[in-house]
Amino acid sequence: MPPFYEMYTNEEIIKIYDAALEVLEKGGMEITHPRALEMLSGAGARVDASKKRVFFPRDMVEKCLAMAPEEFTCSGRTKEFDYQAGLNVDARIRTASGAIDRFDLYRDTTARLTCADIAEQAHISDALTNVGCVGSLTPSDAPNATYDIYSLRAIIENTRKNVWVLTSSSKNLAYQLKMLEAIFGDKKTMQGGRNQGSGIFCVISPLTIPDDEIERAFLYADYGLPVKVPITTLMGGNAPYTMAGILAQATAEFMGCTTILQTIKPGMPVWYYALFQSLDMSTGGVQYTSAELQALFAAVAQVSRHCKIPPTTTCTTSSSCQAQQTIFNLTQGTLFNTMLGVGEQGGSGLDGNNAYSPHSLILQNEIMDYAKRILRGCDISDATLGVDAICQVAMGKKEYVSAPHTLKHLRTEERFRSKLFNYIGSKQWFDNPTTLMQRTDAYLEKLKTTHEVPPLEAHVLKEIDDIVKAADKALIS
Amino acid sequence: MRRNSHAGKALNGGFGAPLFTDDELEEIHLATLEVLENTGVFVEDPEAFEIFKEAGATVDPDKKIVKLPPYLVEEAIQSAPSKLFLAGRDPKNDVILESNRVGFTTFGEGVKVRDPYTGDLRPPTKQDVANAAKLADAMDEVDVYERAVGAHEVPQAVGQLHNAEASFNNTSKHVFMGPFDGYQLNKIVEMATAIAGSKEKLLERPLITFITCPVSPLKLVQDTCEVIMGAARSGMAVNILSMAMSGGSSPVTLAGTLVNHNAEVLSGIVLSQLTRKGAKVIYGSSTTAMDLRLATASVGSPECAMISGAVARLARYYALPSFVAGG
Repeated sequence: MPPFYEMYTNEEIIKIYDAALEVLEKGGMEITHPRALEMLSGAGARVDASKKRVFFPRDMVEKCLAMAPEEFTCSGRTKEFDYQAGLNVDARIRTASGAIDRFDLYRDTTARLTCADIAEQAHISDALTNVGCVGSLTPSDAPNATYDIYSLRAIIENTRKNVWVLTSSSKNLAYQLKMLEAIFGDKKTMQGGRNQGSGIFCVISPLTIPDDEIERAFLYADYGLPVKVPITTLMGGNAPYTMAGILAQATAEFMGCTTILQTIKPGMPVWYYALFQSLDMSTGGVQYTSAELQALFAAVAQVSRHCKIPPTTTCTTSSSCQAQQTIFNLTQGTLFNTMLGVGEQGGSGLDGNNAYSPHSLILQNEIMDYAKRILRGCDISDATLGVDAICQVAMGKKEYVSAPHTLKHLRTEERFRSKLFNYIGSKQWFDNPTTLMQRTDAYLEKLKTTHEVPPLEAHVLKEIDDIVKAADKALIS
Repeated sequence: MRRNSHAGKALNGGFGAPLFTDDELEEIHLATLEVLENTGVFVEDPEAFEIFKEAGATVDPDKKIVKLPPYLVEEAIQSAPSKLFLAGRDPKNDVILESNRVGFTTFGEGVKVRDPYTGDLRPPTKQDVANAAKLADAMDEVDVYERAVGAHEVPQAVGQLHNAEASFNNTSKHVFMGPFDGYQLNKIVEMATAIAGSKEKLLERPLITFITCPVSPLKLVQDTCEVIMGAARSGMAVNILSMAMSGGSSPVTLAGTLVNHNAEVLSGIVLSQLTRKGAKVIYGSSTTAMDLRLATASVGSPECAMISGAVARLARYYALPSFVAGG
């Protein structure tokens, strides 16, 4: 198990946990979906229909938290691309999701995202080893009513990685899930865990669940997709200004959502997704990255461990697409999240997640490699301590470069070989003065031109295209 | 709703990653004792050699090798203070160095300056030393100033005196610097004494910490010995900072490099404590891995971070203040 940071005492974590339970018991959540109200009432919740509120007793919430699995597999197109969600798993990146622009960090240019850009993200994600899940982006060259369906079409053709199936409505989601079903042959296979997808269940802060979210949850449950529960509390906006207060509200929202999802389908895999933002009271601006948010993510990681449910966080940057600022934000976020033991972290979103950048994605993949190298530590044994080798060299019998100890361990003692970062001296650099962004851009081009994703079978692609056409016909008025 | 007070509440003041266990640290320590006892270190300075000899070390005068019995090393670790008070010229910049308190500093000595106005890479001047000191003085999170660059246009035999002058005159923070040799160390102490007002006042408010580097593998060269002994006698602290390069001047394995590093620093601490029991020392490191493909020191690599993490843990294991290089 890799080491991880803990910032808070157990007593503090339990205090957050208890405060969240108190919020759910005393304040409840706003829910109006008739079937959900009926199910929740039957499961032990106190429903006040006149106030549209559902109050969750502590024992009901804790029972539902216990139903959610501590670890589960997120399916790729093939098993080779599966990854584990859990509390002690190898960290993975979830690529930018929801963005509307593509930003070229090397050339400082921006344009509205197209389906070709979405295909690009899926394609390079297929090649990047740390990417576990590909997020859905928002194309400008697709019909407004079915853009999410077009987005998924571009992704599944170009990656074998798991896909975060974002959707605009339950009606659209039904078509999207049919597209995945076309790949796997039947719904039963998907229900068994081979489905290449993960879902989303959103709460509107504070503590409100729209009816269509419930409909989507029924669909994800029907197809067996694990579901991320993003908590988008805005510190000082739709949540308390105090950091502890936001943790109480966010954890209550997560626990409430988990209780709903477990009531719909016991055992449904879920993540506590901290997508917190901070409201800068001096400017009115929204920050996706800050020291305070990282400190909150640390608390979420510990609360998740306490609940035995996987956490996921984000590394989305608030910067206005400026390369140096982006690299700083990516580095601090990725290093910190990885060393917190967060198994899946979002990333590569810029400009408050309005923009996707392939350069940012490649850089984050490299930074995560760096962080993982540290966490692998070093072997400390009689052989590696090398007392005899030190004695030999000190007594002048050898020098280290050609010492038998060096030759023996040269290939087994790990050294991080970065594709992008270098540690050369200034003289060597001036001989070939490439910048980090230049090297990143060159690597992007290499991936785009050399990496191949095996195509889906022709009949599968035709079936998917037929679904897209059917959706257009049904949903575009 | 009543929210009664806690009977007690543990507050967390920070966090750290447990990259190495206590058992692993002990293994590094025991391997280090073995190296120091059986192989020893090269000691170039005759006076230091005699100090080791008189304290009970096994010596080979022809090869200038000093072998340290474990008790000498353990006693030195015990007698070195765990807590250091580093005074700034302005008391508001005083710093306490101990255990896992984390602070930040500039690092030196850079041999080039990237000119902030022209972008040119050029040799540093005395004015650059002064500018760096002034900049560090203004940075809230920089606790002490280690002279970031050294003046190249001044006579190098007394170069560190010029650097000290430029540093003392441009920062009110505590100053770290390598004096290079015993002569310059003593002169810098005189300068600090003049600033403090008297020797007694300088001991009350020590304005300077010296830095010296053993030469890997396992060599306490003349200048290093002079600086360690001179610092001990002056009552100023000395940062004994090894700069081993894994695969180049120390074993290619990180564990082996830590043993080599530890042996060098601990041998310096022994010399310090034998010179004056209770002398102030800092357990330092700028050790990193060498990229054997490019023959460069990969400072900033994950291996460098791991070595620095291990050094911090070793220093805590010995209850000594620590200092590690950054990127």
